[in-house]
Amino acid sequence: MKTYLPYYFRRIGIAFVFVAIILSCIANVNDFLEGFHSGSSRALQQRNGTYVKEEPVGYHVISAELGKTLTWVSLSFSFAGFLLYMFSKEEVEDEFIERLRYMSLAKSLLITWVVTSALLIIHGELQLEGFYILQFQLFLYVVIYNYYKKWKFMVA
Amino acid sequence: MKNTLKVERAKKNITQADLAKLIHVSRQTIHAIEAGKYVPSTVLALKIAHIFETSIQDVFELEESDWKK
Repeated sequence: MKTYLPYYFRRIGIAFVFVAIILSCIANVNDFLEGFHSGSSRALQQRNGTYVKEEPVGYHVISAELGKTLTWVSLSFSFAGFLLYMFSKEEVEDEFIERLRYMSLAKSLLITWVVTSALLIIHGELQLEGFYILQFQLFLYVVIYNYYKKWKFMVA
Repeated sequence: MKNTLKVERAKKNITQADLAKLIHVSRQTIHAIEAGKYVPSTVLALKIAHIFETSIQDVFELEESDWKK
């Protein structure tokens, strides 16, 4: 697989993915607080033997509109980060690394198809939306590539 | 395909890192070739043979199983 970008773009890619993770956490802060509150209060009530099912509190630390925007920005950062990582060179780029890239790409494509098809068969409808399938494939590529590079063909 | 890369390196007293630097590849590539996990291209094999001042056949040798593929 042809790589077009210099090595330092790899670090920028990793930074982008971290930004995406942080933005994604912020975008879902309402759900997180909701889950944390209901979980902790249920545990406390169960301990005291006074369990009463509560209505959801409905946290609104950020608005739904902002949450949606942040999700898209996070997804964009994630795509950009993974693509930068994918298309930037290694410190020493050679034919072996190129082969690892091809292998990782083929395997990530295959696994994505298998997982997507399995979800479709099991649930009867697609559980992953288009962009999330692409993101999953990019994520898989990075994981498989690093597994090959650092574990399967590890330098002793 | 088996190879005598490790033996040739020992004869010349060079490390994997030295060899990698000489033929412009990563140390990982040399390790993978030595371990038989990767079969190099003709160009890379020629470079390796050139560094060890020998022929490709002296470094790389086909095995019985290679004919069955």
